[in-house]
Amino acid sequence: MILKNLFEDYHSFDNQKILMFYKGAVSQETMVDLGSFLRSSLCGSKKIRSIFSVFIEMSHNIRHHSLERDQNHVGVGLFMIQQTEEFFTLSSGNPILSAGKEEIRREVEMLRTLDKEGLRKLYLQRRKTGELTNKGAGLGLIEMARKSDTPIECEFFDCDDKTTLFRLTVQVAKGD
Amino acid sequence: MPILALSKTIDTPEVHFDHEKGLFRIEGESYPENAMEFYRPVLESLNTFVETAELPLKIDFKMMYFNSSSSKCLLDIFDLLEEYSTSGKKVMVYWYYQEDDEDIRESGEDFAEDLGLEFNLVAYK
Repeated sequence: MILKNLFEDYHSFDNQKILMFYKGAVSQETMVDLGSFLRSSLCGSKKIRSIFSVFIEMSHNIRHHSLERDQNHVGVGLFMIQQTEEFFTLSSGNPILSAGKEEIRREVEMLRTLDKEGLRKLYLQRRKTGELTNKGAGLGLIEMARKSDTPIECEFFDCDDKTTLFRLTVQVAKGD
Repeated sequence: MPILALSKTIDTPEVHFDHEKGLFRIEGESYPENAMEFYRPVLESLNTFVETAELPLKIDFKMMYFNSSSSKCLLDIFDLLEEYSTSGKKVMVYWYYQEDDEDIRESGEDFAEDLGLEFNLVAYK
């Protein structure tokens, strides 16, 4: 059974053109290591800077906001990068409290209506007025939207009445 | 007068600040576990300088990458520089970017936009 799944997964990863897949605790050390791996495996791509930036913001979100924690209280989540003809697609997934769902959805919907200049203005305004806490500056989603070449997307999969799985998708165009 | 010297690590930049010469340099990548904690001594050192010094201050930013939390801390640095400048002292900012790095160039322009400082964008190979 294990072998059969391994075989299927092996091909599934191939078919979905998965360049990197990680599910687990995202400590600072893990993030640094995965980031270095990402850079070396995408070495030569013009978009490596945007991809790296989205990866760091996604990891940061998982570390600080995932409801699932490992034994050291480090946030647990999933990160994946896939490749299509036109895009690198980066996804993150982690459980959150269902009560926080609407706030994220509203924020993402709002960001989806803004063009690059609108996102830039919002980023500068929030950076100026926002408060920096141990969890960050509340700029991560805008930063990712600025790097994304299509509107960012969020999806929610309810686990039970209290928790929901939050998936965020960002696409970076490969360019010429 | 004190010298602040922080060595470069994989996720934090090198910071060198010589109060006596009025030279401040920050160089590298910035995505620390806790940006507020990393930049606290930097901001404290700069704050002391701003409150006590008179001489011209030259600042070199040579960042290769910084995350959004670090960006907020860099703005705090610029706010202090502006305070120094509005009290009549000279501040010269040099923002270095690799010539093909639009992200770092644009973030330099973003900082420059809102500030009344002498801001020089410098491309390097």
